[in-house]
Amino acid sequence: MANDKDKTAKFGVTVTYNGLGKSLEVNGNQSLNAVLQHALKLFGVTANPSGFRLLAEASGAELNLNQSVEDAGVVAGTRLVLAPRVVSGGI
Amino acid sequence: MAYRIRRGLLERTFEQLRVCGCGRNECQALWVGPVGHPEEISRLIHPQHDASPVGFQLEEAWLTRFWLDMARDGLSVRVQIHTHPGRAYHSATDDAFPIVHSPGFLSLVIPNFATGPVGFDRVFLAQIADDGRWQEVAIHEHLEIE
Repeated sequence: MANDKDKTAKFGVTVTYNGLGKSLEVNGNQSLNAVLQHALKLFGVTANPSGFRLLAEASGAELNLNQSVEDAGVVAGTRLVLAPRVVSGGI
Repeated sequence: MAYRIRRGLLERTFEQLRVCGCGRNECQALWVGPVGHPEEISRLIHPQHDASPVGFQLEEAWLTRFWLDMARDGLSVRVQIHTHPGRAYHSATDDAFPIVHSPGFLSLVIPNFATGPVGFDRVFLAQIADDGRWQEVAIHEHLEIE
């Protein structure tokens, strides 16, 4: 029970999009997909969330959005990068 | 606010688009600047990409590295630039897959694989509105050549 309670405690991470960093409060139980959706709102992005991913700034690894914050190893002060999945153009 | 584009940067951008596209493939370039100076465009970036006469797509590994570098170095993409084989406009693909999705972001499309005169003649400039939709905007209100 004590561990479950700890997982609901909020802590701060930094999400960077297009070079600009912003603070976001998360908790260990949250899915990274929920974190991504909050991050999109934070930056005023209304595009389909499936077009984005979260990267761990320190390792450069793409995070599995189905994982929880805790399971992904995200802790207070972690820096995440919000990135597009696909960039293309054409006629 | 209009970005002030140095003529040398614009010339290098056209040169890059021409050399890469060879008059037969589309190409993309990016104008970036420091986060702390939102009015400034300081650098031309030429992404690694696949291209054809009718489109292009950035390489995923390059895009990941670039996005991490931008976060580490405090740089923002201000304008994406790409070529079309014929006339310049913003296609459905251009609308759906820009490099930045934030309101205010600019996308410049250059006709004829950038083989015409260096400048903003017959180009098309689009911007993401607050509701997330792209809209055509007047070039002189957003881009000025120094």
